[in-house]
Amino acid sequence: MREIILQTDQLTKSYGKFTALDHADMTVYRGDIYGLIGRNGAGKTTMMKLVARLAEPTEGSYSLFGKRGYAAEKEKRRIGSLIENPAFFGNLTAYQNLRYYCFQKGITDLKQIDEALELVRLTDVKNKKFRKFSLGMKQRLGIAFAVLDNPDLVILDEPINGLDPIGISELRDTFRKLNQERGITLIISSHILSELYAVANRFLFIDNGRVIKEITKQELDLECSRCIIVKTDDVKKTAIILESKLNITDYQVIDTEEIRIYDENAKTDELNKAIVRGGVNISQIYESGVSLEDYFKQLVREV
Amino acid sequence: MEVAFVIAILVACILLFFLILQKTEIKNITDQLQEIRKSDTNVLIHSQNGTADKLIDQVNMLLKDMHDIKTAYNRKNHTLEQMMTNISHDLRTPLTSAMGYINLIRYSELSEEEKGRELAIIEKRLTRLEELINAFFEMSRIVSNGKEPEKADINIISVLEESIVHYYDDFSDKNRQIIFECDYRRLMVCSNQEMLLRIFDNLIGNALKHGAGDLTINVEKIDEIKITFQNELVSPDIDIEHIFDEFYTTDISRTKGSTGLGLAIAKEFTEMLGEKIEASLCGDNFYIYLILHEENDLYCRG
Amino acid sequence: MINMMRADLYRIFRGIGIYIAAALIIIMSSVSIAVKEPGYIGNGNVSYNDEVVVPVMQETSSTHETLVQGILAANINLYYPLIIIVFVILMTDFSNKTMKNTLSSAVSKRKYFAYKMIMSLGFSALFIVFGNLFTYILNLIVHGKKYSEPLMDILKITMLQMPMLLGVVSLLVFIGFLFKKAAVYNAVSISFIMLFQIVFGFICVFTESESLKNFLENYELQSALNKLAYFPEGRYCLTCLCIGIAEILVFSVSGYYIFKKSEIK
Repeated sequence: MREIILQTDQLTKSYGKFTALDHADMTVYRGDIYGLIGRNGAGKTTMMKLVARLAEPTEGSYSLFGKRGYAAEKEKRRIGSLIENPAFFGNLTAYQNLRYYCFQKGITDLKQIDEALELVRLTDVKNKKFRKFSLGMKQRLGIAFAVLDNPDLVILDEPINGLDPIGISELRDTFRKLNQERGITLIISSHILSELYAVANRFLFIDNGRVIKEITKQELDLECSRCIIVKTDDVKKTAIILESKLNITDYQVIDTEEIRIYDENAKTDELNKAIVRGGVNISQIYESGVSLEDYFKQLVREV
Repeated sequence: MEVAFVIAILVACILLFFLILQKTEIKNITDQLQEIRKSDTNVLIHSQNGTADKLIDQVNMLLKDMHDIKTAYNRKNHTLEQMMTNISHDLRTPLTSAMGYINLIRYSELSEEEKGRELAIIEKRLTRLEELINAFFEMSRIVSNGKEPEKADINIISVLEESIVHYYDDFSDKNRQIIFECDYRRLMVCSNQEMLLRIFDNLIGNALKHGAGDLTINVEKIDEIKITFQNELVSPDIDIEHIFDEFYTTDISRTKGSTGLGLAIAKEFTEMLGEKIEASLCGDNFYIYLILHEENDLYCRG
Repeated sequence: MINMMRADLYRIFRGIGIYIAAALIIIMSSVSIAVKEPGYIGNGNVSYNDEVVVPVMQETSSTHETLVQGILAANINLYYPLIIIVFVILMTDFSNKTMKNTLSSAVSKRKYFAYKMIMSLGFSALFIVFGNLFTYILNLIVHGKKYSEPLMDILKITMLQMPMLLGVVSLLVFIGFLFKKAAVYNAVSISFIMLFQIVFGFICVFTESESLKNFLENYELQSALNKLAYFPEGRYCLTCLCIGIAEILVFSVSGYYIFKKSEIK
């Protein structure tokens, strides 16, 4: 199948008695835009720090590009990251800051600095000192730094923080560009589900350090979308009734007892009448459908 | 005397130092190249101490070129695969329909007149099938060769009309109409007929599957030729930014048989022909604009 | 590692700290030369040193005491510019929190610590040479060949004083990694030298052991630098060299250990 870029195995991090990350399992495939969703303090930043090797795990392990332990250390250079607040030297300009890191990493082609600045739309302030930057600009410089070295994996910790709506939308385009044109795998964390929903194709829900669910976008859509759930004893017959009598094709058979109808125009009472008249017993029929936020709240409550 | 000696030793040390630096750098480059060749990665070569920067630059440029080629190849493959899916889906539709009608004739009591009508419909479906197959072969050649699509002088109005005719019955079956607003009988463009037909088919087909009410096609010509496809929406829940993305579809359960590829392919072909396509929402209405530039002397050059 | 040092050089010369350190040295030398008397920052002539220093001066009469020599003897003054240098090289990474940028991209903690230590030592060494040479040259310009030792001797003194001074630099780096906060580093390092001398003074007053007293008086930093400027006997120089090297080793190992264990903010 697709190459696995990152896989964690019961990854745990405790600070004394406080467990920031509790036996977390996570898999990121090449080409994913992977969203980490959780409330503030849920453990997203801790997870990212462990993967970027800024902290050591208390328990558990992870593999980067298929390598573990010491070999994974050498793979670090295929990762670019922006974790917590973007930190740069206040007395240097944007260009100089990136130039500094070019020296450090051994990047010989200075055009990459300009390319990175262009990607995040900071070209016109490249000669402005970092301490004079607004929060949004600092954030963007952080992202430029993360992509500076042609990484294969970019880890971004709440990159949407401090951006205005236009900035957020531009950032979304940037993510897509990175993912499709440069083939970069992205791991992005946020506490705003709707923002991540627009870009990511797989999600990890975290609360209180524990992984609640790992899910793809299609599955998420299916679970959230508005539908009428019908529980009967004969789904096949029900399906035929839907198609022939009611002209409904937008449905899905979940299992031997449940059908979900996604058709917008379907009405519960009509369905009820038609199905019963067709000779099928209905044990339950009700409307379901949640917004993303409600879905997340439900998930958290279930734990 | 002493001084000269000390200085000589100093100089020797410095030279030795630089020699060692360069040797390490070469080894470093060799190691990195080995790693890069082993894995499919974006990273370029890093310098360790700056003594061989120019060499590193050149090697990195080579690596970047290689990477670009790989990416282009992957995208090409991807487009081809998409087309395959789209094709098999579209070929199946008239075929299924024809077979449905055959069953109808076989199993129900019909008069001779009715039978004749059904047979005519079957013939229409199969002819359509034949057209589609021809068109697809033409297009797969274009995409896989990566050549410029062959262009000829084409009357875009007749292509448009042909596409409308394809879908006319399907629309009237649903009590919907295709309204064609066009003051021209002939508008010449230099383009590729199969691809244009396919683009129009996809746009009209999309309106059929995902729109409601009548489809209005409007052609006007100011500097450029602008063809507008407008229809009402079934649900206003469309993400207009992503409308041309592959696999974008509001059909969550995928039972309506939508693959989400129709508009993506329409866009791909439009761009391959060098023209523009845009989409927008206004209230409950959905608009797609196809903008073709007109050749100055009306006909293909050369 | 060379690249990381190049990066820091690029950054340092665009900041203001390094120029302040240089200015400090220049001003101190200039003032001393202008006034024709070496001065100290901080403790003046510590009284318990007098008995030790004077006999030495009398014995080695082959080297007459010159102004420049006197200034070099007061090289404890270099301690303060050295604080600034280590601050600029090391502490800015802590205060700007930029360390995580470096550490998350293929630089291990080991390499990071090593390069900071080496760079601090190397750069400080250059600065010390610069300071001493500057004094020599300025004196040459202002006073001509009077009041000064020949160049070779100046260089010799520099070599002799180097180990002890570098030992102090490694201590500063250790303090930096230990406290991690720029403000605390400043407070501790500035007061450290005085604290040190007070503690030594206390021990000298209260201890019975003659050898301990002797050891402390001879090898405390200020007096050691003082003595080294007057070409003492080879054994003394060797001991100073060993102390310097020992300090560098001890502080490197312990500093690295502390750094390894700590969390990165």
